[in-house]
Amino acid sequence: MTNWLDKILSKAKAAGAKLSDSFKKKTIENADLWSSCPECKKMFLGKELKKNMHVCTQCDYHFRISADERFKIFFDNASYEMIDTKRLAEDPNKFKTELKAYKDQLKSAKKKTKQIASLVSAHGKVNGLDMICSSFDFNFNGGTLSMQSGQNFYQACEYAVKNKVSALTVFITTGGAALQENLFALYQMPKTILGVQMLKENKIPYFVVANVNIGGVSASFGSLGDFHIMEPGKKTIWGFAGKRVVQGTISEPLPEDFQSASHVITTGAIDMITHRKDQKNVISNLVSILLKKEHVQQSTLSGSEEAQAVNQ
Amino acid sequence: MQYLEFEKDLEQLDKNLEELKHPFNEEGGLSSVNNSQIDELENKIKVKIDEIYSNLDGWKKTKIARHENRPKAEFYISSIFENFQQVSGDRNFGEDDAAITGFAKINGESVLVIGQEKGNDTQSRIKRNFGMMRPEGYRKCIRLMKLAENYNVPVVTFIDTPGAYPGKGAEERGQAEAIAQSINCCLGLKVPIISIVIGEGGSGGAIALATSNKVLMLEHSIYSVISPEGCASILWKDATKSKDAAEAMHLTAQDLYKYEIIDGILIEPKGGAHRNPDLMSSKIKQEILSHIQYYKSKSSIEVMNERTEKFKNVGNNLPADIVSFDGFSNRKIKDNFNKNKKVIYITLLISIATLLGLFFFLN
Ligand SMILES: [Zn+2]
Repeated sequence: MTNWLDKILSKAKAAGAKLSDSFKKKTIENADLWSSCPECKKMFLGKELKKNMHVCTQCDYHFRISADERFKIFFDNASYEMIDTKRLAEDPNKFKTELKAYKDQLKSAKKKTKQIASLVSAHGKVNGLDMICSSFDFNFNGGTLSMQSGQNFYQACEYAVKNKVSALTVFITTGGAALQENLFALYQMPKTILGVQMLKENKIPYFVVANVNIGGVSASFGSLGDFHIMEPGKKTIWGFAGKRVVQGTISEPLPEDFQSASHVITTGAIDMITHRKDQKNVISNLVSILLKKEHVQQSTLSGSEEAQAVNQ
Repeated sequence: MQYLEFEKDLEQLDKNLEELKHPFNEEGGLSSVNNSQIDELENKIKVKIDEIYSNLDGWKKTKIARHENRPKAEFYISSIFENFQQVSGDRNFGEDDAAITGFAKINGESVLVIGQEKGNDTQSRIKRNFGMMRPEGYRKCIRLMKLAENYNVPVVTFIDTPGAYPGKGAEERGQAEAIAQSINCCLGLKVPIISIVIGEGGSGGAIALATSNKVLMLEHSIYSVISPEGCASILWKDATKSKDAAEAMHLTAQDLYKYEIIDGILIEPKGGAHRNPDLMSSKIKQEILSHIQYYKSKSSIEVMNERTEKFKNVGNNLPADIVSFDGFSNRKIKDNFNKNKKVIYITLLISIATLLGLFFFLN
């Protein structure tokens, strides 16, 4: 009876959506076209930056890249499969203030990143070795650890054990625990550690690769890696409390590189500082030594470039 | 006694009562005792306390949790346990006075006691670093928890900290790693751990010693991922919004119990633990004893599994929101809706047909 009306309405809606989509696409493309290096201010074409694994060609600044970009760089031929996880309640703490609702914040983060949480995982080959990779996405609520992110990491560990993979690597770029979720977020500290314990029991080497590792993440699964690798740069962070909080606590001025890679390599928190282009080779090398497995080290091209090379 | 801003009326009543009970009058002679007046005033105080304490929001609870006269770990340790022998040091770097640690007995049962201590006057607060532990403190606790495990001795922890110490040295000695290892140790411990949040459960600094089989909170204590002040300055960029933050965060024992995050609430004496510390400590003692009794019949596997399951499943019972970002899930919902629509239409049609049939049949 009302079918014809529905049809007309849905057609009109679709047309409207198409229109707004094309509009959005244009603006996104423009924003994508140019980016400047936060360190040396050099301007880059998006394409150019991508080619260099999102590392500044002038000063080696390592951009805080999305999970998607991480996977593309890390996995052979930029090919991988996302690991599906159980969906938990979003906004479990029902956090409401006069500010933008946390629920809406999550909604736009999801839209922006096409991810269900700040941490997602994928499965693929790394220099020929079967590996799992989890990654935070700084664009998703500042990469904060939420209940869903904790669940995603835990399930990545379960998946790693079930599929007997050769290693699990987590890329950390995080703002710490999601404070809107209060204890639901805090309790992800033990939960993610349970995941790490599973890896250790099953002798699956566990790598932490960090750009920003702080708060509830560094004080849980972020500090329990078999190996701790950090990206280089003055803006990298490895610590528990934020630098500003530390500065507020003590009277003497902090060293300029406090908590950055060059500092924490001297305090013993990390094993090495490794350029993005070398990370996968370092990891596959260690895995091949520990597990006595063959791996094929590749030239230091980015995964997406390799993919292009293969396609051509 | 410290009075909080919402306790001003109470302060006056308490003062009046004190005057009434004073044995000497202004002239220095013995004062006449007016029992009925005292009774009346004591009643008034009771009513006032009920009025104030039955209606506490998150911010007021925060104030009570940090009350300077609130009994601290040191008091509870000395009043609850027998034969307490303090031990110290992480064997690597130093001792941390923010955590009082030692072995003791409680009604004849052996326990390891760990208490985060804030101190109760300027001097002791400085000594205790306001209850903010350093890495060596957590490493001391790890050392002792493993020792306790080796002798099958349960662990009791008193949680009361604004958070782990955010100092330069603490950072350089691996505060993050120390907390992570402490949680890791708690999760794998073969003996039961019972934690009681007696004041402030401050973030990672608290959960490092509260990854336990039973997480209990005193009625007016709080437990949060960040202080209300910290939350306000991050989200509002305005520290004066702490009250709003405290409300929104759901950091009270009542909220957290409702969320099934904590395992129990210990009711405080009227007007807060600081108005009757002895009553509070006897209640805590009974509670600890009942849990120790309960775990006596449990195997170490059962003890470990109970703890693991709890931290693995937190929040999993809450309904997952179906509305999602991607078209896929949205479509799913729409499909369901359309299916429901169909069902409704079909049911309607059938019932109309039946009615019509009935109508014709009867005619
Ligand atoms: Zn640069």
